[in-house]
Order: sequence, then structure tokens, then C-alpha cells
Amino acid sequence: MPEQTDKTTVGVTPAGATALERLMSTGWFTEEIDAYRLAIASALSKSLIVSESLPGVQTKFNVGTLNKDDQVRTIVAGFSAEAGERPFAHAEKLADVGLKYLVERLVDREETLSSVLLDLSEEDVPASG
Amino acid sequence: MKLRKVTIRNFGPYHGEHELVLEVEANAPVVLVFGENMRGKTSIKNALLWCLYRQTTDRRGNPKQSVDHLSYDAIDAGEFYMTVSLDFDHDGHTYRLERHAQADSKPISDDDLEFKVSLQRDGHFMPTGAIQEEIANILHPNISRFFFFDADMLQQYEILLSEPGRDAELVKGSIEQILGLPAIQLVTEDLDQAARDAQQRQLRAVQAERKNEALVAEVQQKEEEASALNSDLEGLESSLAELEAERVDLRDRLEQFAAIQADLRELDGHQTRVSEIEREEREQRDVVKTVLRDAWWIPMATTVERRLGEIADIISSATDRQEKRQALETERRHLDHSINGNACSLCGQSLAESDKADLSQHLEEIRRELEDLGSDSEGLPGLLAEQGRLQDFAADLPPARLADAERAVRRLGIEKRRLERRISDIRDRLGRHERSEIQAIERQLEECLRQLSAVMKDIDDRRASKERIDRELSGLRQRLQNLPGADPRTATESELFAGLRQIFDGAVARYRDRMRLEVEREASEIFRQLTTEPEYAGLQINDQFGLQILDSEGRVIAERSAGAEQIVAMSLIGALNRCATREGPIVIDTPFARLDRRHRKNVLEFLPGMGPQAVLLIQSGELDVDRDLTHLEGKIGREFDLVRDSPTRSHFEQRGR
Repeated sequence: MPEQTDKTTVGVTPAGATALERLMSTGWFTEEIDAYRLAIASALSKSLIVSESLPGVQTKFNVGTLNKDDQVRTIVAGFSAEAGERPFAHAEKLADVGLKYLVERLVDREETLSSVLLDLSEEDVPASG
Repeated sequence: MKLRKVTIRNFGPYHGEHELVLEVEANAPVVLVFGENMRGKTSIKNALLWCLYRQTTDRRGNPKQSVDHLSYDAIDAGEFYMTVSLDFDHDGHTYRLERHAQADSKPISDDDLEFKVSLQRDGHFMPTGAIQEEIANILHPNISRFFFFDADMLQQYEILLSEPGRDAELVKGSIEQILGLPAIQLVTEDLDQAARDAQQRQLRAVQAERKNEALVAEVQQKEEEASALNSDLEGLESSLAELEAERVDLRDRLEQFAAIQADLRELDGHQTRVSEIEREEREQRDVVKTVLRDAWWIPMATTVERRLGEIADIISSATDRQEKRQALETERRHLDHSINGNACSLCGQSLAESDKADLSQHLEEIRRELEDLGSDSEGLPGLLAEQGRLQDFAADLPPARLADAERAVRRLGIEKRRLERRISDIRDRLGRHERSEIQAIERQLEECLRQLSAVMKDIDDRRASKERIDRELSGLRQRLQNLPGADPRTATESELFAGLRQIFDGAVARYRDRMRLEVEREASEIFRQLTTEPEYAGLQINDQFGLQILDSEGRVIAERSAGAEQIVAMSLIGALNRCATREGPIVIDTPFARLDRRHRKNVLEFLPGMGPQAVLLIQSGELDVDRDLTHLEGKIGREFDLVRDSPTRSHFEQRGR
């Protein structure tokens, strides 16, 4: 089976889109892409289990925009063994699960942003890539 | 004047006919009427005032319509009339005054009422046209405020302490009336008129001579100017009175809006603060947004930091090994060279076989050590590259700044929601009242004050002109008397009246000063009797009859409590009664409301001596009946209770004492 190339655009599942919308309603983000990146970092930090596949993904961002200064690839590829040669495909999966996780804590449980970020940054180190 | 009986029908809460006997003996002149709030105490005082003058006021001193006094129950019963009869004695005569108001259908205003009044003196009806004057002679309406008063309204006497103004002048005029000053002033007006008549006669006499024409014409011209100025002054005084009334009305209307104005000011303040909060909130949110945009990896910050630490350790360890390897390689080369050349590569000394064997063994050990160290060259560049990439994420993260900003946003949000609730409450309360309505009244008041100021300036200017013309006229008249044809008797007459006028003016001024000092002396004496403060030595009176409290050093006490105000006012009223040319009953509504127990004791002991009769309309909260009334022991002539029949109806019951 030939090796797949990485994604050039990333997006959200319908559930992820709802989560993104609710996350934006907190008023803490200038643009959706900022929330999307934070979701990736949160999922990585929390070692959340990502789905094998994302059904019904709708494109949201171009990888070039998402990966400004190559930071997203550095973090995903650097700290997730599952990223392999396709860090952006993996980042998309991380974002989907990370968005739902952030919504649960910031919107549903009404935790403060600083307490959630502090908690996330103190998580155990995920397996290094 | 001594009251004997008041009969009330359909007035206030008194539906049907009710009789209140007020006749008392000189040794027990106090009548007590007890009634809780809304039972009709004030209606008794108003019934007396309405019967005497057809005038009553509300608690703020504004005139009330007669129709407002008609009993609700009477209206419901279709009885659209009310009557108050007052039986009293004065100056050896017996009087019965009866006032009646009636309408054909339910009245809305006084225009719907027909009024009738009758006065019997010693059983004989007086002509209707003479009634008002007779009542004014007995107790003039202008001085009624010193006989019938509400203790809560006593603060109106404070205006006597302020700068002269129309309100102060009115009260001062009333005081001078009670002291009999206007009667003396009438003489001066008569003298003025007599002098003017004499001057006119003189003018006519000298006019006959042709050569006097020029001077006569000048006098006549000046008199016309003086007359025109008088006419102007009358018109201006009338305008001033109208503007004063308008000012009072506008101030009253603004006062009614005072609460709304306060709400509007609060609303403005809250709205301004909400705008500030929104700006501050935006700034703080921007701090958070910037952090989340530029440092989105915060959740990975610790992980990144730890990895950087690991890489740094690996690189450091590799560097140590590299240095050791270099040292071993140098030593290996030195040993190789020495063994192969049979001489020490450093000092050139020949080597023995045993030395060569030792060196060979040492060389072998170094080679093994070098093999153990291995080579790092393959992994190190990768690590250095990773370290370079991760350094981007090792920038100083601002979690504290983010937490501060988030806390600030939360705090601002709470404050904003609280203010928005308050704004919503105020908007609900403001309801239909428009800000423009209040602003319109404020503008009208501003314009009214501007006009008032202009009219007052005009009056001052006219008065100055009038004084100048009067001086000129006086000189011209002096010259007239020396003209051919002038009648020396008329001249003497004119001079006599002018001289008398001067004498009376001086007398009036001296009388006023004397009465003022008399009032001050009497008021001070009463004040010392009433006050509970030993350091209060007396009262000082000003030109307007305003009274200030003095301490034992003769210094004015600037701050006065509400109770002290009432004591000062009662001292003034007591003094005016003592100095008055009239004598009348004292009727006080809620007399003790602002007084503490010791002041109540003093006032109760003082009241029986204040006049021939004292009617006190009291509510239970004002005094302790069992304890306080012992101070009136033997002085109480009659006692009544006001009994509630329904929310709109009451009646009197006399206590058997």
C-alpha cells in the first residue's frame, strides 16, 4: 500500500464545528484558528485518544495558514508518535477531540480559562515522537 | 380671641355634624386632641382656618382648594356641601362665624362651589361686606401663622435668617403686623397725602402769575416724570410678583421631579461607567486573545520545557565525552609514537623493553576506553536542530498576566451586570417621565430667573431715578414758596406735613427697633426656659426677626438640631404673642414630633402660659401620655380622642377627666 501524503487543508467534523462555535462564544479568541490551535495543544497535552477517522469533515483552514512559522508541525510531530509522516492529518484529529474537551470544561463546566490552561500545562509528558 | 366651640359638617373625615367644645377656664387653658395619623387632626386646624379665612395650605405651604376638604363619605352620599361654624369671644363680644360651601353636583374644583359666610356679633348678623374686615381686625390672616401652625412647618421661620428676599419680607411683614407697626405706618401715608395736597394748592396759587410759568412748568414736568416712574414701579413690582410666583411654581414642579432627576443623574453615571467597563473589558480580553493567538501551545509548555531540558542534558553529556575522547586520542598518538620510535616522544629518552611493555599495556587500555566512548557525531546534529526548533516555544509565557486579565474581565462583567440591572430598574421607574419634560422646566426656570434679575435691576434703576426727581422736586417746591403769589399759609402747611413725616419716620424706625429688641428679650427668656442646653445663653435677633442661638460668650451657635429649630421657632411665636397687639388661641398640630423628652417637658410646662388658650393636636408617638402629661397637671381644660370609623371617616369623643 503506497504511503499517503499529508493533508494540505484541515477541518472539523459536524460535532467539532458545534464545539468550535461554542468555544468562540466565550469571547476569548480573536479567530477560530486560534481556538483550533489551542485545541490541538490541549489534546496533545492531555494525551486524548483521537479517532481513527473523522467522518464528515468540512474544510476550515489551509495548512499554510494553520502552520504559521512551522509551529504546529513542530509540536505535533515533536510530541506525538502517532503523527508519523502525516502531522497535519493527526493535528486535525487532535483538534476535533481537543475542541470537545475545551468546550466541556470552559462552557459546560464554566471553569476559568486560566485554571484550565494551568491544569493542562501541568499534565504528564506525552510520549515523545 | 378665645374659641368656645367649632361645629364641623362634612369637612375632611368628619361626615355629618360634629361639635368640638373648646371653651376653657383661664387656669386650665389647654385642650388636648389625641388622634393617630390619618384620623383628622390637621383637618381640625384646617377647619378653623377655612372658617376664618377660607384659606388653607398643605404641609409645604401651598394653598389648598376648598373642594379638597369636602368629606369623601359626604360625596358618596350625594351631599355636596360642607359647613364650619366657629363660636368665639373677643373684646367683650360674642361671635358666631359660619362658612358654607355647596355644589349642585359632584364638585371637581372650587369653581364648582358656591360659598356663603355669615357673622353674628352679640346675636346680630353683620353686613356680609363687613365680615372680612371684622375678622381681619380680630385676627388678621397675615398673622394667623403665629397662632395656627404645624410644628413640622416651623422651619419656614429659618428664612428670616437668610438674606432679605421676597419670602423673608412676607414673614417679616406678618411679624410687623402682629406688632402693630402698619397702624403707625398708615399715619405716614396720610401725612404724605396731606403734603401732596398742600403742594398742589400752592402750585395752583403761583400758576396764576405769568412770570412763574417756567418754574411751574418745570415742577409739573418733574411731577409727571415722578408719576410715570411710580406707574413704572407699580408695573415692575407686579411683574416681579408674577415672576416670583412663577419661580415658586417652577421650583415646586422641579422638586416634584427631584427624585426623577436623581434617577436620571444616577442613570447617566451608570451608563458612563458601563461604557468605561466595556472599554476596560475589551482591553483585558485583547490581552487574553493575544496570548492565546501567540502562545497557543501553553498546554504543552511544560512538556516543551522538559524536552528542552532533556536535550540540553544529552548535548552536555555528549560534549563531555567528546572532550574526553580528544584527550585520549592525544595520549594514544603519543604512546604510539614512543613505542614505535623506542624513545619518549616528549623528552627523547630511550625506552627499555620493560618500559615499552608497560606503555603497550597502557595503550591497549586507552584503545578500549576509546571504543567504549564510541562516536556521538550522528545524533548530535539532530538534537541541536530539535533544540533550535523548540526554542521558539520557550519564550517567556505570560500565565500570570493571562490570569490577571481573566480575573479583571470577570470582575468587570459582574459590575456591568449589576449596573445593567440598576439601569433597567431606573428605566422601569422613570416610566413615562421624559427627560425633555424636566429639561423644559429647567429652561423655563432659567429664563424666569433671568427675567427676575432684569426686572429687579429695572426696579433699582427706577427707584434711583425717582429719588433723584424727588430731590429735584423738593428744591423746586422750595423755590415755589418764594414766588410771587405763593400762599405763606399753604407753604407752612406743606412744611409742617413734611416735618411731621420726618418725625413719624423716625418714630416708626425707633418703634421697630424697640419692638425687635422686645421680641429678642422675650424670645430669649422663653428660649432659656425651653432649651435643655445649659450653654445656650439666649437668642440674637436680626433686622428681619430671624433668631440665632448665642452661647454664654455671646457667640452664635452655627449648627442647630431639628429639635433646637423648633424650640427657637416656638420662642419667636411665644415672644410675638407676648408683644402682640392681638391676643389669640394657639393651635399646634403635632407639637412634639421633633422634641426629645426633656424638651417636651419644658414645652408642656410653658404652653399654658403662652396665650389664653392652647389647642394641641397630638398623635400617640409624640409623647408618653402617662409620664409627659403630668407636666400639664391641672392645666388641661378638655381632652378629646379622634376615633376612626372607617378609612375615610372619624369622629370626636370627649374624655371624662
